[in-house]
Amino acid sequence: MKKILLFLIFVNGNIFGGSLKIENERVRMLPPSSVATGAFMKISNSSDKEIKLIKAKSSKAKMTELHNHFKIDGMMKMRQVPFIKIPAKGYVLLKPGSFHIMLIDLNGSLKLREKVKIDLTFDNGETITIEPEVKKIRGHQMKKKMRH
Amino acid sequence: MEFIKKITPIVTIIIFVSLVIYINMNQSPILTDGDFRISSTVGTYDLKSDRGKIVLLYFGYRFCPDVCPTTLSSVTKVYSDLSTKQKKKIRVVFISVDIERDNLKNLKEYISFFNQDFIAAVDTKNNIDEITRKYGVKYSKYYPDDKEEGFYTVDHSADLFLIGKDGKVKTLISHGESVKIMKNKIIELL
Repeated sequence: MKKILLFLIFVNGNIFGGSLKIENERVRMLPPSSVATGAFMKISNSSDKEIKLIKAKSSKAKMTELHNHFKIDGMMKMRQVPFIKIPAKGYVLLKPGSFHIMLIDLNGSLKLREKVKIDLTFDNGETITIEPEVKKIRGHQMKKKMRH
Repeated sequence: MEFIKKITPIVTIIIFVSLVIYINMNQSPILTDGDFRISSTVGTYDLKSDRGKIVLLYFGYRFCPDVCPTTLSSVTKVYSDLSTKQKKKIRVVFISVDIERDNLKNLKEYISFFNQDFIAAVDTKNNIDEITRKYGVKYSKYYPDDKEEGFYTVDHSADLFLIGKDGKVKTLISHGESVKIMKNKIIELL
């Protein structure tokens, strides 16, 4: 019985616990008077099912939202999105100018290398807590050629 | 054969028109009168006073959480990699389109975070509208429904204008362009 139980925990761990991986997480350092900033990261999904990031929460900000940018009528429009998809056996990049987590109405100025705790909730029931560092983030890097 | 003879001129016209449209789409706009004067963190800034310099002009706002910092960070990286001699030939100007929340004091702190040499500017709505009109820049406040009353962000054009030594716009750098391409375009004009 114990073995069966352990097996089930192991299986569950693979499906719901170990299928998501967060890497290169960081929060953008901004001038002291800034009221909002972005958190960026790579979220990988090793399972064979698409998973959605549906919520983010941080005590560093009054509001923590999932956002994306849209270029409409020649203007860049940043808007809240209900979820961010992480494709099966794939990953999504939360990066400047694209999907990101927006920390709005910050509780205090950001400090370089300060750790900002963020809880990420996914639609598979999993919640992952990350503590990205506040870093100076450069603009866009040269796009790497993708191999197919 | 007769059919081919008939459609040849039409096809030729279509190809020619398409080519003209394509070339125009890819050409940099050349402004005839992009000059402006504006209150800035270094006093009144007059674009005319920078003839002989490359001016990098960007429109945004201080509370902009992602788009403006991304472009300004790229500009900062490019600028910091230049030699002292090259830096003297470049002016970076950030114009705020958020006249309600931005003023010269808080803009000074904001722009200095990126580089002490950069200048920021804000002015009356009339002057901002006059300058944005000249550059074809659009901006518009956005009030999300689910936020506290009065909370807004500003949608805005996010191209970086590269103004040549003659005061005319030579090229635009779109939001999302890499640091490397931005650097190449700037160095080309130096």
